[in-house]
Amino acid sequence: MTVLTEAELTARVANTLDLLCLVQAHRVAESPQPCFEHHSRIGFRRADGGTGTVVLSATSGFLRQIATRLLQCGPSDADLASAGRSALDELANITGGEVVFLLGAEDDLFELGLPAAIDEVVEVGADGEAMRVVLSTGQGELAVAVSIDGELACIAHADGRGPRA
Amino acid sequence: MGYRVMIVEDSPVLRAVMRRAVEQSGIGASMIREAGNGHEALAALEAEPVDLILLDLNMPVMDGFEFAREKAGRPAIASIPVVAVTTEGNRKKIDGLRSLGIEIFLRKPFAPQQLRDIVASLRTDRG
Repeated sequence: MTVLTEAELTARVANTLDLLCLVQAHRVAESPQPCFEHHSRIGFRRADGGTGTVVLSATSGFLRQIATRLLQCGPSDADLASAGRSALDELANITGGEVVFLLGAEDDLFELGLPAAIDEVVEVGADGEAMRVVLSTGQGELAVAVSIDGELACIAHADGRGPRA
Repeated sequence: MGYRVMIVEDSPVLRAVMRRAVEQSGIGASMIREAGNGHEALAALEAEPVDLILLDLNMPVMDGFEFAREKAGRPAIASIPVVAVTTEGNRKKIDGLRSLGIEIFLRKPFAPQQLRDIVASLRTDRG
């Protein structure tokens, strides 16, 4: 059984970047002055109660890199900015799916929303539990923040100690 | 007539990835059409059917589940094979899609090679 931990979340996101974009990423410490300029958010809801969100924040270097890899185009391509935005939304969608899966969605009914760009990130975990990991690709960074409310916190502990009951 | 494929996916970037996977699959697709949601796809399919549909499930306007239900009720397009490319991992939802005739699932994230292999095997199976 897998559970939602920082290590598992990091592994899932790194695997996504590897499979889909052929980009290698590893976890790094949060920079004291992060320059995450692009954000995408996706929400999810469990049929029996409980909600959560996943927010991806990316540096421009990261967005440029994954858009270049996904579209197999040059870094000066005119469509790169919009492609980067679209790629970040899709990464949010996939990461949301992975988080829901880790929360037990093989057996529980979850509804995953649609990813949407947001201007800035509000503090995560205000009314529940949260975790945040930062990955570096060498050319940029991606922060992944997961926030779940109290009902979902019962089945997944952000500190990685307690798996589902 | 050559092999015709439709990609139903709301993400333009992922559509590009999937298009490239089909092009590189070696099936010799004569036409690859794209739709951004199920509603667009149904309209396009009614005008001209295809031989294979690659279907995202989580989309705006009309998602893949509703598309599958609508498609199953339209005799002209009901038999077109569908590969569901999705983040969905829930057994009940997957079983619901199987009851609508969708048998092949590729879970995101996927490597483009995986999609290429599936498309190529379907082309081989069905001639």
